Amino acid sequence: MLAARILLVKGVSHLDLIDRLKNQEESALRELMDGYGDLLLRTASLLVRDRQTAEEAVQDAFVQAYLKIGQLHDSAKLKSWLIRIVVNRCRMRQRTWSWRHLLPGGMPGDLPADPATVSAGADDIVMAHWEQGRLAEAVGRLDYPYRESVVLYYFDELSIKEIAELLESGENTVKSRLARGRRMLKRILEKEEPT
Amino acid sequence: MKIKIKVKHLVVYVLVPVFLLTAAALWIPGAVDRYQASQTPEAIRARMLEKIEAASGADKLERIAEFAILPSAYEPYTFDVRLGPRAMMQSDDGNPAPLTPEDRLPLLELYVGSGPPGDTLLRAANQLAYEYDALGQAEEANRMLERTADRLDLDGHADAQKLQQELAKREPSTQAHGKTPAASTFSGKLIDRDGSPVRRAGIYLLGEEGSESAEQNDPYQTVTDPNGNFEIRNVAPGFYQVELGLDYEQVDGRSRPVQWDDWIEIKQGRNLSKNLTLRPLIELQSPVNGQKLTEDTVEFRWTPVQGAAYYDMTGFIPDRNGLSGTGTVIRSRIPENRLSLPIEELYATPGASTLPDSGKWEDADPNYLLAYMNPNARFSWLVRAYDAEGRALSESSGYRLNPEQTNHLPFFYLKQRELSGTDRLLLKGRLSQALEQYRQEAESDPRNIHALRMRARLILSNVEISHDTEAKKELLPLLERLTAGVSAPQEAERMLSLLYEEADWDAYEHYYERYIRLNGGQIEPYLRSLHAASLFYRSRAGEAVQEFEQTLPDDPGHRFVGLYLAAQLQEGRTLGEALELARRYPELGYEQGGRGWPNLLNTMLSERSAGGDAAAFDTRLRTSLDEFAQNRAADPLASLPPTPAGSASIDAFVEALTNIR
Amino acid sequence: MKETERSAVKRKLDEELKLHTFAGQEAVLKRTHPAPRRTRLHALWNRELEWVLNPASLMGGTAALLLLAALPVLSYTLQSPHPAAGQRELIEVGGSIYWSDTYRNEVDRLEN
Repeated sequence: MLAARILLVKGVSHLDLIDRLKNQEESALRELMDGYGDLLLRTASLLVRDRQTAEEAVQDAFVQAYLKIGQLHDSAKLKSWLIRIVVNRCRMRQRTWSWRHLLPGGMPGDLPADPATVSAGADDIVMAHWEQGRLAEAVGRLDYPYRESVVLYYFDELSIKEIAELLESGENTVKSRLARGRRMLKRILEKEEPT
Repeated sequence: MKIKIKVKHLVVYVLVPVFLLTAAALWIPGAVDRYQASQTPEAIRARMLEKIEAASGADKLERIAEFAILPSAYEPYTFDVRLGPRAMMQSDDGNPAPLTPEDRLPLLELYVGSGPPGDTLLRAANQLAYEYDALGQAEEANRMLERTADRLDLDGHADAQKLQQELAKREPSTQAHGKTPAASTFSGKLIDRDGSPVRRAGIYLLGEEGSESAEQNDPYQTVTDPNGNFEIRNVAPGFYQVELGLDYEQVDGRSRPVQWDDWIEIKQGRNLSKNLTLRPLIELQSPVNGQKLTEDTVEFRWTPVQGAAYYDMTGFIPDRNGLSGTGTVIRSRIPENRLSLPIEELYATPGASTLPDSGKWEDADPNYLLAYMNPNARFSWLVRAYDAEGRALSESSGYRLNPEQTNHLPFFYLKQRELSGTDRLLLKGRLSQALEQYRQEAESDPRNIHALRMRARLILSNVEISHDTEAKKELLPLLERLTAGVSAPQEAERMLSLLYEEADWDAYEHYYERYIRLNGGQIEPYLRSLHAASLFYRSRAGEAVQEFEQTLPDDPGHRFVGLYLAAQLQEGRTLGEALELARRYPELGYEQGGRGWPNLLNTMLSERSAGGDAAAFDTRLRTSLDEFAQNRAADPLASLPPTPAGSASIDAFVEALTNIR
Repeated sequence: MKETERSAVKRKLDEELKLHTFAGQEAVLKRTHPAPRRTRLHALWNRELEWVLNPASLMGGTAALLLLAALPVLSYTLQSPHPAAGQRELIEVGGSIYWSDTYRNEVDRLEN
């Protein structure tokens, strides 16, 4: 542990770290990854359920965050900005499964050779091999829009307002997604009660 | 004796501490001096320009770099505020920019002409191009970039390539022989509320999430010239939303010119021109500034908006910490610039629903439950104006920075009633106790509407959070009485969503009628879409089609279009006709691509004709849709995968349907 | 203290996911900071130096340290005019955004 490392403090403006990122300092990017890597990976895991895809999504997210650091307008919102990037990348992986394989250029049912889509399609098999606790798994069974709101609210501990900004939705939409997601989660967990 | 030490340890444990110690010893006393001598921006600017003037040669270039190029505030497209379809965002304050664009232009020209190659030169070139653009001299910018690229090329510098790339982006779409160019131009004018041009503002085009443009490092962007004109070239076909970059003076007192539903479509090979107007924020007239209202009718008044066909009004109830929290619409489709609301109807209007962290209804925030019946709460409100096509024109909330904008603060108190003892108990957080007391009060005096209403609200909160069926049974007769009397549409509406989700169709229909009556015959588009969906689920596809056709034109996002298409197919439309409709109402936004439904229909069309037996295909489709509808009729939230129909394209279509909520 | 539902869910998820740690730092850095500069820097950073302790080298070392210590002094005296960041705060109230000082003035005025 280097004595000179600057600690990331929650909720405080990360002006210094962000300036250093804008200056393309490698150490700043390392710090960013050390500070947020785990959180983002776990968030992605809850969203895409597949470990490999999650890891890739987070790597992509950091690269993108680094390149687009100039687009972060409010340094105090660093955390939710990073989460937003990860959420978008996870969404894209979802869409790859539901929409892209339907576009002309492939017979419906033919999966493209992209490994990300293959693993997304083989979800059940992957899940069986990937040790997950029950709650995380149940979250993974929620429909995607509900899954997003639930993960952002419970795991990332964002406020309704932050989630609404992040997802570019109205607060009431987020609230109702959350309420339904919670309800569906309960249903899933209850069905699983061991006899 | 030898000492072995790693470079990093040497730096960290020896050099840095020494440096820091002396720096601290020096700067702490110095800091006081400097604070006392803090400069005005004017003085600072003067000194900077002096220093540059005084220097010459390489020195001069260095000072230009330090004062006029490197500070982050001078980066192109750095604005105080970004106004977007759904958000208003500020950038970091505290990056001062004492030099004006007029100051910097000649300095940048000098640096670009003779400065040393490197990152700074690239930045200077970009900044200079931006300045020329802002002056409407894009050609000059192109020439400058070319000249600079050539200069770097001569020196054999790799950076020349970067400038070439910049240039390529700026060049007009090139024409291939005879073919129409794939990329288009988006142009227009940004006009201020008094008709004058808005200059040096940023214009951005944001594509749908996950689309190509969201992937690029530089979004489509440009800056307006002195006449407010802007032009973005080489835009790929697709759906976009427009975002603005403005400084505080430009945004103060103005509303967003684009609202969250506004999508523009850039078509292949076709240019699009669109003028954007910043309108003044709507001024609220009454009640404002903490006015304490005591009359039986509450009069809301605001300044009228030119071209407005109707308004809606949103209220905010402060939570237990006194913060505004989520607002809820009080009334919509208000035809004039005022609203007279009997206080009883306002009392009947509930606040936003909440989900307490504990997961227990007894921990819900009582302020939202008591809502407008609380004489001690400081409520706030805002209005929005819409044109006849339902597009948002202006609103009363926005940036209000100069003191003239601050003089009609949107706060008021409702002092028509006093808190009862039970109300106080509720506000203290003792919800179950309060519930019991309200029940007793309501039973001993059937005319005590307040107790009845609060009882219903508390039970409703319980039902929404815990889905207690007993509680729901208790709730229905209470709501029945309330909505039969003086009530608010939202009172029926809250029940509607619950009943819809539980597929309690008889009760749902009953409350739907109630809601319409309470809402003056109007139906909110979202509720109408839900209703249409429920009709489809209940095998009333014809009625579903009619209802959808009422709402689809008003809902640019077209979130329910998939169900509409399904209903049309059930009603006997052909796939080709459905395809036409899917094109007319593209579903936009983050979840589905604007091309999703047409693609699904196309795939079905090809599979149908390729298969040879069209009639069998049609039967399979019908069966699948029937099954989908039946599943949903039992559980509108069902996401069961469809039974394979034997046709992959049908399965894909139905699967997409199950993603609609 | 009794745990809320929300924090219980968070705790459980944290527990279930604790083995998931992010290990892709190097992969990311490879993409953002192409190799040559990085590996050279890295090698330099970890390089071991040998320093022979004798009177001459001690004097040389001290001289270097003093020079280093003098750097802040030099930069301070050569300091160019830089504006101090004067911060004004923006606040959001009742849906609109105000400067906090203007807003407070208005509220004070109304309350009197």
